[in-house]
Amino acid sequence: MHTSIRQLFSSAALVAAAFLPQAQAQTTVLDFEGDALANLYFPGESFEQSGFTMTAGYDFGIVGKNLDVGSAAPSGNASQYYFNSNDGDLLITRTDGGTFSLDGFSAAFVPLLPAPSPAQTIVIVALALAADGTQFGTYFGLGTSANNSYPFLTFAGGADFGMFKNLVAVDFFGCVLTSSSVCDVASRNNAQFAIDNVLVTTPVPEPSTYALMAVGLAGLTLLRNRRKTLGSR
Amino acid sequence: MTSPRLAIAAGLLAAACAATGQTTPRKTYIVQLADAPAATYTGTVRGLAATRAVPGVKFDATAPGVRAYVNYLSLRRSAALAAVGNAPVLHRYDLVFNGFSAKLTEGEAKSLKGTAGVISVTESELRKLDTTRTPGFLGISTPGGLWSQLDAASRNVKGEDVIIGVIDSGVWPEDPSFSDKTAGGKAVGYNQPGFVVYSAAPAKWKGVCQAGEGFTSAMCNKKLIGARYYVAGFDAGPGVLTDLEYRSPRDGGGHGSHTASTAGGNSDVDATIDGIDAGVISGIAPRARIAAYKVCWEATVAANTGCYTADTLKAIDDAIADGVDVINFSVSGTRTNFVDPVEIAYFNASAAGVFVAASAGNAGPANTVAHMSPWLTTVAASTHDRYTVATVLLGSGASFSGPSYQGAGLATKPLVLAQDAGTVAFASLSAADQTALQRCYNDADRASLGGSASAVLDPAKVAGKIVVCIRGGNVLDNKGAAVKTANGAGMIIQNAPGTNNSVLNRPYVIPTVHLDVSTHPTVTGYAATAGATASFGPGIQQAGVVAPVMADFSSRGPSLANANVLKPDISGPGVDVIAAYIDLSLTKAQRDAVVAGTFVPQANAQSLQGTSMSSPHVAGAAALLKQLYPTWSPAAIKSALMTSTNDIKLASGALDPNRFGYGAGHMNPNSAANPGLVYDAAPADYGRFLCGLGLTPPSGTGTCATLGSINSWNLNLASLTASDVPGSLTLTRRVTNVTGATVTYTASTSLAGWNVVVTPASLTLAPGASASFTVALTRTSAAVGAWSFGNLTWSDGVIQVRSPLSARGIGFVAPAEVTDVRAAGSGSKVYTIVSAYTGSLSVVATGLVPATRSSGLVASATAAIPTRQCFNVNVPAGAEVTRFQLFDADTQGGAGTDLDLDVYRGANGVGTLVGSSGGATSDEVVTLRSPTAAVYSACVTGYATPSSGATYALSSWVVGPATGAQTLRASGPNTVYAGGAASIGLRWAVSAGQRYLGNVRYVDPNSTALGSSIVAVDNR
Repeated sequence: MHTSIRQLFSSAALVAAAFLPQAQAQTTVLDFEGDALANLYFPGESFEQSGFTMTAGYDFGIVGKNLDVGSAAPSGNASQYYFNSNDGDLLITRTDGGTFSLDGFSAAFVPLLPAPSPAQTIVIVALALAADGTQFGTYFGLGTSANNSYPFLTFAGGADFGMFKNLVAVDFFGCVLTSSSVCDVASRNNAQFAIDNVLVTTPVPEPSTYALMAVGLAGLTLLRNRRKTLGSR
Repeated sequence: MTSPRLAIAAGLLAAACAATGQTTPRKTYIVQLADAPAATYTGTVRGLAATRAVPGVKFDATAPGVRAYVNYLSLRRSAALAAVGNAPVLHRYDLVFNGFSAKLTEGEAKSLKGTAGVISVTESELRKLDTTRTPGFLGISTPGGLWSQLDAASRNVKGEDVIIGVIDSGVWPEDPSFSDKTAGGKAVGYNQPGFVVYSAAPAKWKGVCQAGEGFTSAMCNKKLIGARYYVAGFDAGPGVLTDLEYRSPRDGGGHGSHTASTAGGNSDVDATIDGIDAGVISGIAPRARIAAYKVCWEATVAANTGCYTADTLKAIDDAIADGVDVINFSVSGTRTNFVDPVEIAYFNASAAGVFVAASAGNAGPANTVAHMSPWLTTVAASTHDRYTVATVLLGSGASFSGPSYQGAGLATKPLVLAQDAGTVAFASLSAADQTALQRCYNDADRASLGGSASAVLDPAKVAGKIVVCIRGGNVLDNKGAAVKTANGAGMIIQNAPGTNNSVLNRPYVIPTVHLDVSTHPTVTGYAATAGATASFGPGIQQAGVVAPVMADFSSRGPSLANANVLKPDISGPGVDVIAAYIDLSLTKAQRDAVVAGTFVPQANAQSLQGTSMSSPHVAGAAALLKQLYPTWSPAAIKSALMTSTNDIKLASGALDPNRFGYGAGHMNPNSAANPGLVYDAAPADYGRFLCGLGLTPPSGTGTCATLGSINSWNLNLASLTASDVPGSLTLTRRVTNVTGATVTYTASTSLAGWNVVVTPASLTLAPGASASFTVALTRTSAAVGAWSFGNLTWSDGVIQVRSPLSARGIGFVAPAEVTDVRAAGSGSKVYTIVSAYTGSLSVVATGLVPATRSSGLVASATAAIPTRQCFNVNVPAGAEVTRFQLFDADTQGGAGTDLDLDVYRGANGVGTLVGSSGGATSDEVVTLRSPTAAVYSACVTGYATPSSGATYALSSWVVGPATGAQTLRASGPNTVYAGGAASIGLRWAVSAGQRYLGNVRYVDPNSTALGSSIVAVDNR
């Protein structure tokens, strides 16, 4: 169900940095709960929860529960979640710039209606920037639905998440895969999803990783721009 | 409640109160109940098996299961009736529509609306009747035509054993069109001696012959196998029957006899129009059996003449129970409501396997097409090529020719000028009288156009002669009437210098030839001589007549309910159609003698025009196909009729480019009998179509949750129509091979200004096999907002399966209004827009603005309390939206009080009326977008209030111009794509407990305003 899409991003690989062993670890669930978070986020706007910063990219996002997203509202989640609109993405970093690992998340596809023609299959991509400057990602299938209301699916643990260690950022976005598993098809705003309960584990950061942060985030930004270029041709 | 119709209804209601002494007025309502009618019942009630028809098998209303289920429905109905006490019930419905009609008070109707198991309560409405050579024109009677072909049982395809139900104004049984006998090779009336040429009614027939005034069971026969009448709904209304009507299936208006004989009347009927030979007429399916269901009545006041929906529903119910195969419905209907009770009854009739043809309406050439439901075949009216010309041979030997309806000719008669045949010598008449006499005015013409009794034609000088009447002044028909009154034998209508010089082919009450101006000197010169004579040859059909041409009166599309369904579907002959009629010359005494059984009236025929006349042509053609293919669904028959059409022409002879006149084209039954492929559809498909529109399918079809939904442009019709294409759109269809061989069809398309791609472009299908395909439309050079018309044609090299293909591009689609009613101060919402370009989109939010509430008190009829109150509101420059609104919830008496709202540009209810809202309750709203800066006033009128008046609160909003931060924020997509949707996000943070209004504007990269969406938040 998951395939590495590392090859797509290899050209954007940055200078490798030294791997730094972790000390203590604490698992946090980014659940998007609380009235304070419920809002509309324009592209570039951020919000914080449990020491993490979430930034809406390219298109707007909304935090809320039972979100009225027309006839395509996702099912199976009565709590607050993050709705990522159109071709947008959600970038997660630690507010203090430290590293973390990604252990799981829940997500549902939110199809755009009327849907683009011909029909497309959308997957959700988790694209990570590690403290060593490498970038890698995996995609997760979002299932099928007869009536346009997709259920939240939970992805956690196992081989899928084994590589998401020692990260400085992870970026979630939807994409349409080609037959060779590359995000190289225009999704035409049909890459919408809802995401919730992102499981992250935070070690005690070493001071030397801070210097890498700036380099790493710049890299991800470039990467997103490149993706959009690919996506709209 | 400002609608004139409602005002009239209210006035009549008041009169009815006074007459009966009732304190609470009652009106006729149609109550629809939740259970499926028997025709579509799927076995969802424990212990009661499904009763709906299996595909390809006709619904049998007499099956034991159906009776059991009908008993169940009757119990359920009793429960609903108990809720309204002793309300008088007019009709009970259970086969194609589950419910009843009853006389209810408004209070009872409202309480029923809230009762579990009641789907809808609608007032019974009065609907109107819409008003040869056509078998030859259609080619079915010519050698090799459909009539000469054979079905599987080696019978000619003339409608053998097919039953056509005609829901109309009844039938005139003396017309030979409706008899089972012939004499000397000609059909003769039931009352004439002759040989019976029909076998017993088909076994599927379960109907009756209902006797009544002037109608006995002896008048039904093996041709006219059934007749019923429905008058309870009419009697419950304000109308009174004319003293020439019959409380029986006997036709009181002529319309029903005309439509029935056009669809299935006998062939070889000698027609006479008021005594003048009009040639031989025939129905389209001349061997079909006819069942007449009389629901349309002639009233003393024309406004009350018509057909009540309460009666029509019962007739449809009975027709299905009786076992009809095809229904013709040449009666007006809804233009906008797919769930109108009559449309729903026909939905279920179609589910029971019955083909229904309905008239498109006679309100053309305006966009007024009625009966727009996709399960109906909606028929427009066009001309045929009947144009008969006769020769006038003068005693001098000169001969001329001109259009003449009469078919028998006229032997030599004395010829006289009208001016020489008056009671007073022409020279001594006044100028007005001279004109009146020359032009053959009748009494009414002289009264209205000028002239005295001195200008009357003298029977002593006219009797037995041909009279030359000069064109001009009065209605042409009246010239014939004037000559007939003076006992003339015939007439020449003579165009003269200075008169209109067209010549017309019309029926007159005496044999007539119409001559053009070139003959004027010779004819008038000769007729003035003593001993002049003339004779007429018979009218002979002319070659080279341009036809079919759309009739002006035929109601045009697009569908006002959903423009993605092409309407009308097809056109048929509807101009100058000669068919059976009633004898309108009967006196009251003769009518009473008919009722008493002491007088047998004559047969008659008439030339009429209307979509009422074209619809039965299609019903007849469907009967022919039903004989050939008994298992075909109504949708398959409709598809065959539509994909085989001929072109419609303009009067110039060029192709008529406007599909909305005629849909697929002009009916062509010969080709329809061998359509190659059909676009079939089942009730579930129509259900998905309704679900896609947010409507609830009829019970028994299934719920939207189980059916799913489809976009209206994807319903499997033989027409492909896309009304709002933002750049591009893909339509899907499915075709079935109805030939006996494996065939390969290849698609070709034409649609100016559009790129059309059919995938796959070729289909190979085994006999009976189906395949889907898509049609991708992309706008190229076609203008935004303009319709393009073309065709999609599947061809195997022999058969052309031609579908109309129509598309209209649009620029930008956004919802007119976005509403949120969650009781929280802050909230978010996401909705979609569709773009016609690729690029950036600017989204600008204004608001939210809380309602300003103004309280008042009005009364409909209390001297001390005003009936109208006005409130002034200042609307500044730059305002984006202003809205005025009343709510039942803010009105004393709630929905039981009827307040209306009028908005003026100007203070205190003076100035230009810029909007009004007059619904039946106190929920009223007037919205003005981009209002001109001014003081406006909103005036509240108490239309129906408690006697002590009703208090209310008027809510008003003025949105914009935006100053400072707004409580509504909106974000659009980074990029919009041509033809693609995109999400817009809204977020607001305001205090809970109020109604708010805002506005979102959309602007393209060139700063062009694309549109706006009103945002209404009610968080009380």
